[in-house]
Amino acid sequence: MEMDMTINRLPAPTWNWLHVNEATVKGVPALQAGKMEDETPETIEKQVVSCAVWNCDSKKQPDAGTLSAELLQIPGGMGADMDQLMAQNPTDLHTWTIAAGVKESEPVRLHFTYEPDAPAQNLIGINAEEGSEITVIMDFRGTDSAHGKLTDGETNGFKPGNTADDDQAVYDESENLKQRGLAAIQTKISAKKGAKVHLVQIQRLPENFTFLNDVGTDCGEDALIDTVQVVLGGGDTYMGMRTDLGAKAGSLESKVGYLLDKKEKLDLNYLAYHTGAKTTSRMDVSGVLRGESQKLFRGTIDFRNGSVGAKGDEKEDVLLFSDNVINRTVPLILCEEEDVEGNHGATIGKLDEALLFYLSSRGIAEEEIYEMMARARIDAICSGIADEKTQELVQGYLV
Amino acid sequence: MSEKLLQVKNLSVRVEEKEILHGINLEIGKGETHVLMGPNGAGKSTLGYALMGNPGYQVTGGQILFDGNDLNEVSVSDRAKAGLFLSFQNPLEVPGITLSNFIRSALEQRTGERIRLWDFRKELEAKMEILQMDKSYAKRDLNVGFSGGEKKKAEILQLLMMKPQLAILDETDSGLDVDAVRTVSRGVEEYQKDKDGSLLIITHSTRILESLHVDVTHVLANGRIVAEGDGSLVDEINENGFERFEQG
Repeated sequence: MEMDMTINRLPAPTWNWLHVNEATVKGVPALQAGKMEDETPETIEKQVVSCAVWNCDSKKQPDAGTLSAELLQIPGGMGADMDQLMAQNPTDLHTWTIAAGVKESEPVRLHFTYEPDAPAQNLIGINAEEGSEITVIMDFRGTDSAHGKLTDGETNGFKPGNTADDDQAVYDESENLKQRGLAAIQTKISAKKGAKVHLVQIQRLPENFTFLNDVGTDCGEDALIDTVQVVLGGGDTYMGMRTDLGAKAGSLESKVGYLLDKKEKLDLNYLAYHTGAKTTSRMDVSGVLRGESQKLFRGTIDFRNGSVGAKGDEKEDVLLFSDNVINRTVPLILCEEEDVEGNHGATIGKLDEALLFYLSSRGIAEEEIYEMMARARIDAICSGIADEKTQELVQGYLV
Repeated sequence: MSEKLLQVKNLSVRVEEKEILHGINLEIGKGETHVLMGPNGAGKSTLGYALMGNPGYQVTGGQILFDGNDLNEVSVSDRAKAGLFLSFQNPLEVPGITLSNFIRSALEQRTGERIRLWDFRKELEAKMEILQMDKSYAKRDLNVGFSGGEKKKAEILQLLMMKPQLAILDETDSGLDVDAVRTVSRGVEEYQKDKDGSLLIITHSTRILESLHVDVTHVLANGRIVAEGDGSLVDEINENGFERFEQG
């Protein structure tokens, strides 16, 4: 049965005519389990919780007290429709747990391969017990339908955009989804007291994909959630991330980098809920828009009662390489507490003429300067990835 | 007289609505070192930008010939590829691009060929040593967080690596302490020695010139070349200032 989804809702809606309050994805077909391979260090416990056990078939809540219940109750940034999507299709929950006090330097590597003619979804849980440290690296790729051959689109980093006639309905995917691939993933993260969770997601799907990527995190006392998400591919991408900073001195560091071209779309909804004292959050979103691409970033920092001494920052850096791009930003700082600090900063515009002259004066052609600056945006985001292999993977894609 | 590398003929330049340079004539031969001096606001940097082709500086009259070719319609990057180099008075910060990658990309763009990383690194480190630059700067984002002195050294490092035919140094010595000026001067000497390169040094002080042989000195005031002479003119200006030129 097809599903119409409303996702990425702004917590405090604004004028409807701005078309930023939410995104709708219509005609989402039934999804099967997505293909995933993993490389897991020995210190980390891997579990597969079948659909029947976490009750997705019966639409009931998972049994209380189980890891499934704990993880699945963590809300994501996309909202309830994404949870419903996961629950209405038979999908196993794959979890990785690191025991208390264990700090693993080797990452868990998860390789997802999606096919355009087989809409698929994955459900992932990451559980870091007290004082532990874990890194999870997810790589999303697609195949072409005819040969099952892995493809990243073009290797120069800028791929042909989708060809669907969708200029009116930025958020209506119903026609698109009949013609192209669909992949959906939901990741739930629990970081207990003093734990550190590093999540890296590299998206390099071909241009004929719509991708729904939802993350929900629960950050414990003195814990750190550190995420780096790089969008290098996919026609239309929807991403949501919600972090609940409910305990004292929990911390979120979230970085997003993207390169969009042709008619590609990126719709982001990032939420940091501060209820714990002295919690901190930082969202750093940086990217390049070319062709007729579109990006909408909703960034919400919500200081709720109890978040005394909390600090939240959101920063955006967007380079516009064409007059035909659409860039929309909705920074939202909500406040119920007095002693808090919330900041928003944005640098949005074309390449500075003085900078262009400086770089040109070294013999670099204007076109190459734009490429260099685009790569620099992604490099800056990737500098936060501790894993050399992943950095090389991204670099290789950009060459 | 040596073979002409740069010929500026009756050049007038406008910035926005105001004409800054009025009929400049200047010739620089291969291997020569010229100094362009003048009081603040005389138009020295404007001439440097105009020669390099900054689109904000409109040539309203005259001609710039470089190695016999008219540069008026040539893009900034093609001027650089032809062998012109401008060392900036205030080098810009470029986040996300390391000094090393930037120089390598620029060299590859100029030559159209890939440069072997090993050879490049070796040469880069040798040049950094001449300039007493810590090697860690090569991996840092271009000019980001550099001190004023390190920015100027990074400019001279680019000069040494790119080996242009003509280098225009725009106030390279400004804001530097005595030791830093000495180090930068050493780099400039190295450039001359290495490539027999030509220099147009724009300055209103004389510290950077102490260890260099100056062939010709030009004095610019109110957008016009008002005096020319050999290296001794530098000493005279050092002693008496620009007053008599401004009055003229």
